Amino acid sequence: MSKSIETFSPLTEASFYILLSLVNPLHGYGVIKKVETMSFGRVKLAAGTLYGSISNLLRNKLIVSVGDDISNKRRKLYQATSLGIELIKYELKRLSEMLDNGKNEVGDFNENN
Amino acid sequence: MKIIKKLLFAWNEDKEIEFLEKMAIDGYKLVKVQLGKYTFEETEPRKIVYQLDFVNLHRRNEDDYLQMYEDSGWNLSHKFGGWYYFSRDFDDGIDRSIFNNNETKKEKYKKLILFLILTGFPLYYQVLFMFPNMDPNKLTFPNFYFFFRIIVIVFTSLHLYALVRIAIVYNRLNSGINE
Repeated sequence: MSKSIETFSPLTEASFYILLSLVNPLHGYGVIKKVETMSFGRVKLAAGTLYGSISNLLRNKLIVSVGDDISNKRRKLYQATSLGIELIKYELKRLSEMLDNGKNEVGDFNENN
Repeated sequence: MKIIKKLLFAWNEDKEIEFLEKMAIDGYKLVKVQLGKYTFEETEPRKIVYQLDFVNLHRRNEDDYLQMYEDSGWNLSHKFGGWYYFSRDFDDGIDRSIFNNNETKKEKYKKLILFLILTGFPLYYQVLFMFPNMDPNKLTFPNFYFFFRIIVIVFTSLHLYALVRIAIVYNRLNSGINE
């Protein structure tokens, strides 16, 4: 690979969640639904951002198109590549460092101070 | 059918949206866009939300693109060049944006700027290279190139103005510490 993982980091929240929802093959509409569920309704992906992020992920070979949806041929299915999975893991490490540091400085976020 | 002639530009997108939404309240739904010309269809007055996107799509990607908008509740009102006019009925709690973050919003204007530079290339080429290297006698009054040069310079200035206005819109999207 020409580009190293670090150059993609940090991902935007939208890109991270889109990539994460594509560990298994899914189409755009499925991504919207899955991300909304995973984030407990907090992240509602807008169409322009969804398409833009998917295009970027495709261009950087972090995801690939793996065919059309059987029930609706207009919907393409996408899936994360091994590079994409590697990037998710890299991000998880980065986020966990942020989480640890945050807890050290201001305490647990569930406590009411 | 109602046709309204109105010249609105990409850097005045908010005004264009405002105009389209006001027309909907007055009972006119957008069906067609041409340069400086909007065609409406009479409907019941209602609140419609409009959004504009600019993309250069390969034909094979367009279905997927439009399906994502459709799945998010948007209808394509009209496609004009690389511009896609989307609309949906207004309801409370509706999220009218088609972007979640600056990153993807900027991408839209980046594509627009790139498109302008490519289409404007012949103009800049003529002003910067063709005319300066031309036989000066050809450029004197009342030769063809005398008038031609004036027209080209006028168009180049307008083009440059458009580029600057859009670059300003693009730059404004950079501020803020959140994504």
